[in-house]
Amino acid sequence: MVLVPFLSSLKLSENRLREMLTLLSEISRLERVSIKEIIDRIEIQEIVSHKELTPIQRTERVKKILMSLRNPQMRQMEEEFEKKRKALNLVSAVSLQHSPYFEGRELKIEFQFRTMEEYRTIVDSLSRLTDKKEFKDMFEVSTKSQAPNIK
Amino acid sequence: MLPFQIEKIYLDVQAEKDWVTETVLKALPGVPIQRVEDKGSLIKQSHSDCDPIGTGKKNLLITRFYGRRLKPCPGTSRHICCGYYVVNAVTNCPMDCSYCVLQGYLNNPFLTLFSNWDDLLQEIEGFLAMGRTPLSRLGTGELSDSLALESIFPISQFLVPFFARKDAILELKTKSIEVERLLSLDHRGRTVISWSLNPPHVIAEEERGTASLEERIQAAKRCQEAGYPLGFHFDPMIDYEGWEKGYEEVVDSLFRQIDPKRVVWISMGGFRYPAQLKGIVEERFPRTGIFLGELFPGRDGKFRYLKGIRTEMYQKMLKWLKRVSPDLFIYLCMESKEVWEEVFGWSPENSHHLNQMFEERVKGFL
Repeated sequence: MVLVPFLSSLKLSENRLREMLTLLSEISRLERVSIKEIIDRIEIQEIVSHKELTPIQRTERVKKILMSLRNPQMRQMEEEFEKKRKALNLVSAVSLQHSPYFEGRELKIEFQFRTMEEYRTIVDSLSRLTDKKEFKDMFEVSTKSQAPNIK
Repeated sequence: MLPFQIEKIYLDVQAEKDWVTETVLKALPGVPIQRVEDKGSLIKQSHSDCDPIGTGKKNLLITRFYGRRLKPCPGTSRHICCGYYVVNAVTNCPMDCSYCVLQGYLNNPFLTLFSNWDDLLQEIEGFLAMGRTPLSRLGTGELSDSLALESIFPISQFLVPFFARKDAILELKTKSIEVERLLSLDHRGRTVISWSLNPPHVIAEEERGTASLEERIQAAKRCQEAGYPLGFHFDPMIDYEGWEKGYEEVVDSLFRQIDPKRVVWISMGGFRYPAQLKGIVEERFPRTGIFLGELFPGRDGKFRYLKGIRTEMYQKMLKWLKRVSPDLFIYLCMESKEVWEEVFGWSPENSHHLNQMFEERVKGFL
């Protein structure tokens, strides 16, 4: 009963529906709470009742919250990485990514440029990264889980 | 009495005259036998059963196998593996562990015994004669439990004396207590008997039809007294609420009974699975807790616990094991160089290097 209004506010393909139900069921078992209690969380209700969001946007946002509830250690590692990435003040043409699921130690930098000048600016900013503490710290985040024991 | 139930024997007509078949039929009097002319159709038909895997465990197929049965362990890509060889004498297993990868791996769901036994011994003989690897390690525990069928066809009676005269090591890996027949064999230290271990909570919840932890340890003790080198596999390690206490107590219980000097190797491996396994397991064991950890696809496509969780589990196990004896030979199964480094502070260069380390260990042990 509780699921119907929740699911009908989202835009779900068959695969997405299965994924959403799996997430709800696993969170319910992990946190020992009912599915209703998960759906009734303020952060989820705010998204579901947000009139200006499209069903697709609602789905993406709800899924993000459910993923973070399902995988709290991964969420914490992502947040720490993001905090450090922001502190680097990278120019917008540069993206910095950790390895998939933090499995490896490698970091990946990608950038785009149209002119020699843009290229020079980016390369100069990248060459200064090694002086930044936040950049050095990123190797720490990549090599170990700093998440607290959730058990 | 058998530790498991065989409801029916499917006998491939091509296997009818083999002595292995005769031995098995004698051990299973009263079990209905159905002759099979076309095992392909039988296997195909079995897939329409509502639980072909569960049903297959109670139905024994005796057949011949004409391909290669001795193969390098497939290991996993882009990870360090130990250079083991697998001997497929039996496929499938009467035990029913929820996490078992065979559920998604084997096309034939029947508990299957290959009756052309002499061909297998010849194949092993030929492989060892090539001398490809000094002190090769071969095991029968990849596609079944090595001792699962001891009560109906005592594989150990043939393999242990066979390996006793070879410069190679046989590993019999089990979750059973079927060791009685092993105790009087002349093994010359060439057979390692090993047990997969998990805390009682995991055994009770996820390892149906297996011996309890205490029973496994007692069986290991008997093998130790019979002079066998022992191995232990903490694999798969399961991340559950209370795992630290659970695994530490397993280590303590084990070494209250077992002399660490008689342990040739110990492996650790976190629970991992190919993507297709989850659906199969959830269908068969809806209440299983094994997928509740934080599991993500790795470089080989298999799902594993988040690296930080795995390394923490391995580091703590390593600490508890080294407290027992710093000389224990402990290795990781299907893990990356990075994880080795984080756990041990060093890593084998590659799979070949780990294989060499095994050779050295085994030499020192013989």
